Amino acid sequence: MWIDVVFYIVLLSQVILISFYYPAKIVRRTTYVLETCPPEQYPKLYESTFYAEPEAVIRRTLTRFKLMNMAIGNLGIALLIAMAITYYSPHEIKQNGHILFVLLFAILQMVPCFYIEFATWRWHAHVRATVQPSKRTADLRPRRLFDFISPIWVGLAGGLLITWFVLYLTINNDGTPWQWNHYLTMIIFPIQMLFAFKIYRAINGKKSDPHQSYQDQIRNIQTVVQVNIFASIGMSLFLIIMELVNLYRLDMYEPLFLSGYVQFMVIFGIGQLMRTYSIKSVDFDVYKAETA
Amino acid sequence: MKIVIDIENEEPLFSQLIAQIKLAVQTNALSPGAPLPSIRQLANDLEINSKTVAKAYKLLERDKIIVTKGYRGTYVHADAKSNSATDLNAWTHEILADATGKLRAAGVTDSEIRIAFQACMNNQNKQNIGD
Repeated sequence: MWIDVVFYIVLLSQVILISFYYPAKIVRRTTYVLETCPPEQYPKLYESTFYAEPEAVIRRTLTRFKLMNMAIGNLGIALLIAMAITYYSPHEIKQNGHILFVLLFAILQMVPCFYIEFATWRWHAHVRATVQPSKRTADLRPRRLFDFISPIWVGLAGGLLITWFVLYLTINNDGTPWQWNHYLTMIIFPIQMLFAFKIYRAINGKKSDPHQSYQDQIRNIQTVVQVNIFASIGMSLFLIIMELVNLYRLDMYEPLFLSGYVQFMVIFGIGQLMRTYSIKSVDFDVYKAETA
Repeated sequence: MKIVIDIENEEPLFSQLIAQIKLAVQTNALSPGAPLPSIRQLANDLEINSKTVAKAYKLLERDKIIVTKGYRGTYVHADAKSNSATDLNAWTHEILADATGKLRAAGVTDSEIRIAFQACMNNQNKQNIGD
């Protein structure tokens, strides 16, 4: 019985965190920028030849994001109420039905984030295409991985990945040939490579926003580096826990660990971005008309 | 230390880069042994081709303004400040202008000078290949 109560609390926390708490913070952050930096005073912030009314496009995107989250969040609450009314007991469900529910609902919750991420990427691509300054500046200081994150965290990320792989090989080394699901698990390595690639691109790649000040660019890189290292650590930790869950037949805890993992990723993903990249510390003067 | 390049300027981009880095050395904005950004980082920050930055770095290395230490990166040369005072390009122009002036004064035509210069360059190239 107590496991059911924990399940409901953890899932409720997932719904509140991903569909209400962080989206509200994102909306507040963007609204703050729109209100404190109007197009008349900060034209470079809205510089895009692709949109007739760039400010309206931002507001529309924000409204859609807000509505999507509200709908998904309310759906989550409604599902939880329905589960409680029907005495749904997750630990009694066999064949991973409950973990699939948590997973699918988490994916659904991430849809608005993917939407806003895509909208931001498209916006920056349009700004980059619009803004082609003849004078270009660069800093002569090299950027290196350990300027942005402690080697301990990087070592931990690498160590945990190796630990998981060794654990996986040890547990699954029963002499039988590998099935498709074993090979599918190895997708973890391309995903981890993707984290590494994102870090490399953030450090050495082009600025997403051509007007961004050097200090903001550095903070942006720091955020990307930290988020991806934490994502790698979180993923390896989750996989290690899941291997142990399977080994010790603790299947009933699976949805809790999955939900915990999803929440960890959001706290150290979007949350980390909010913490290290406070909107009030951004140098908006670079977007003013008179700034060269 | 910030550098600025103008892509609409008539001066080639690699020359602008060299001049800016030399200026940074001369004004002590870059001290001997200071690390420099990688070719890729600088090229992406300036949104120019990485070959342009590589060319500038190669010429700066030839002039002993910078030194590349393999995978560890690129650093400002220990004697960068004194070496940056010498402009090999300007020196080449000076010597050639002097030689051309002397040859013209002796009555050698421009065409003959060009042919002779070309022959000298070709011989030098053949010698280099032979070595």
